[in-house]
Parts: sequence; structure tokens; C-alpha cells
Amino acid sequence: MTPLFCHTAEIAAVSPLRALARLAAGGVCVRNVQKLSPSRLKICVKSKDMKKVFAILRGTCYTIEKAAPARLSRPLSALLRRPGLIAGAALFAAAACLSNALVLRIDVRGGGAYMRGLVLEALDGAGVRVFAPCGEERAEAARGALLALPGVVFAALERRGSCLVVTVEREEEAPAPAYARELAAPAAGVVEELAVLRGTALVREGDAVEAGQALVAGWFESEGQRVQTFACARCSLLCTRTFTAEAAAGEEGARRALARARLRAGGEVVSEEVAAAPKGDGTAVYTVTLTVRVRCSVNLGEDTKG
Amino acid sequence: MRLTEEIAGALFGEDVAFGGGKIVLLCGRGACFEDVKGLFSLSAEEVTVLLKGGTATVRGEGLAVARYGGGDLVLRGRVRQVELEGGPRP
Repeated sequence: MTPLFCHTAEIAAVSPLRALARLAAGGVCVRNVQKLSPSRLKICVKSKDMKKVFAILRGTCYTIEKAAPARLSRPLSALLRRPGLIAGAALFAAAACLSNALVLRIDVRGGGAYMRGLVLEALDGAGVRVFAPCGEERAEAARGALLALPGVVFAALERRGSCLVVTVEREEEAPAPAYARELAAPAAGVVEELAVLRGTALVREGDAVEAGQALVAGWFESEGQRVQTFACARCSLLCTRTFTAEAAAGEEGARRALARARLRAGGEVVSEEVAAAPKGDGTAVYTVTLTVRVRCSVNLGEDTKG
Repeated sequence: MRLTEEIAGALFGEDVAFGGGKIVLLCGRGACFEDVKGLFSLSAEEVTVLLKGGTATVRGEGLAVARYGGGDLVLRGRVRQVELEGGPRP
């Protein structure tokens, strides 16, 4: 079998066949011997034996002509004459290996794919991001961070080339929403109307209450025991609010002061009273007293305060 | 080669490797020679090989030396005739 790395050579001599015997005696194995003419032979030897061939035939009547690389030796010798090409190929291979080690894209899949922003944030906190390496340690830390997200029951990270595929699954049942426990008065006033569907009323219609005072509690009594629940009720309060404003004396000034007070009332105006105190320079200080109905509710799907 | 040596040893009762060269014919492919001392002539129709203890003249078509080294020679081509001259007397 002809070796992969070999050289061809032409031996010129009066009796070139004797050169073959010399080479064979010198331990060189020749292949594919072709007789080009009575005085010329073409042989093929291993590339590493070429120096031995020249050494054996030096000083004899046999002339080596046209020694050239053959088979894989030819492209190899051409490559060795172009070191820039070798350096460029090595640089390219190094760049390819380096870029393969980096994450160039992150794909979020699974039931939790809609929370991509949260997932990327969690990954970034664990050091996993685009254009960064992702080893076993970082992947494990990222997985832990993903499992710590609310509702996530499964998380997996898989490297597919330069793409990191993150699979996140959430639990099917959403957690129960938190309900407000009680109904508190948004402002000081008198209870006009109170409707309780769930819980226990702490005040009655006509009672005066302070801002923040509990109107309906989140419990009820059953067989002498207090059972915790959440309040479900609606209430309307009549609150008295006083505003002062300075305006021109007269009906126009009074209307302006009243308009300003209504804008700041914060509820449904039930009654209004305007008192003027002239200052003597054409202006007056108006005191507007408004009675405002403030409605509030809790856990009725329309929670309002004011 | 080992089987050949065993058969020859059983037939002739002596070590076949001693005393002369060996020729193995591969029908239609070529021939292999052992204990080759040199090549006397080479052409596509006739090759003369100098063996230890004799000379072998091979005639055929498309003959070429495929490998020659370490005392072994492999001829490639269609071998028609092998003529031996010299060698030890039986």
C-alpha cells in the first residue's frame, strides 16, 4: 500500500536498477517503480526516507532528479510554505471554540414562557446571560433562582450549541387572592347607611365615627366562638367639610368660593352653606361648609373609599 | 507464508527459508519474492529478479514493481510465466 506521505523521485543512471538494490540494502523501501526509459526510473518512497535516499546515492553515479512530494505530502508542503494561512486557521478555530463556549441566545419555553422578563432577571442574577459562559455551577444556581420565582414548580436549563433553552412550568392552580379583613371608615362622619353581607357590624346607622375606625370586623360569632373570616360590606357616611377662600365681595365671589369647595369635596355633596366675612377692601373671606356623602365598600368587587 | 513453510517442511524435511529465495504467485494479480538480491531487468513484459541462489525471470503483461525493500519484492501485473535458473540441486 502506498503511504499517505511520500515523495516521488526520478533516478537517472546507466543502470538504474542497481540503484534500487542499493536503496533496498540501505533499508529504504521503494514503491511503484516505473521505467521511464532504459536509463531513467521513477520511484516512490516515504517522505521521511527521502533524506536517506539522498545520503545513500550521494557520491555515486546515480542522479536523483525531480524529487517532488506526492499524495498528502504535496498539500502539506504547500501549507507549510504559507504560515499566515496556518495562523489564520488556528485563530479561526480558537474563535469558533471560544464562541461555542458562550451563550449567544436564551429561549424561554414551557408554561412559564409568558414571564420571560422575570426569568431573564433571575438568570442574570445567577450570572447566566447572553455573551457569557454557562458552566455547571452557574446552571445549577440559575435553576435554583428560577424555582424561587412565585408559582414555578419546574425549571430546567439545556445547552443546545450556543443556545440556552430554559423550560419553566408553573403550577396549574393560582394561589388564592388575599382579601381585606375589615371595612374601615375613610373619613370622619356619621353613618348614614350600612349593609353587611359577611362579617360583624361594629357601628350602627347614625353613629359618629372617626377616620380609620373599623366599621365592619372580619369575624363572626358561632356557637359562642369567634370565627375568622373576611368582611364583605358597603357603607355610606355623611361627612362635614369646611373650606375657606378669599374672593371678591358679592354674589360672584360667593359662587367662586363655592365652586372651589365643591371641587375639593371628595364625594357627593348633600348640602352646602356659605358664610361671608367682608374685609373692607372689596374682598371677603368665604367659609363654605359642605355635607358630603362618602361611600366605601370591601370585597364586593367594587372596593371604593370616598 | 507460515502455512507454506509448514507444508514445505513436512514434504522436504528441512527449513525452506534456508538456501534460496521464495516466490508466491497471486493469479491474475502479481507475484511476491523473498530474499531478493536485486533487479536485473525491468520492463512491462519481462522482469528478471536476482534471488539468493538463482535468478527468476517473470514474463507477463503490465508488470511493474509495486514494492521493493527489505529483501522483499512485489510485482504487480498479469504473470504468464516464471522461469528459474540456478539454485541448489534437489
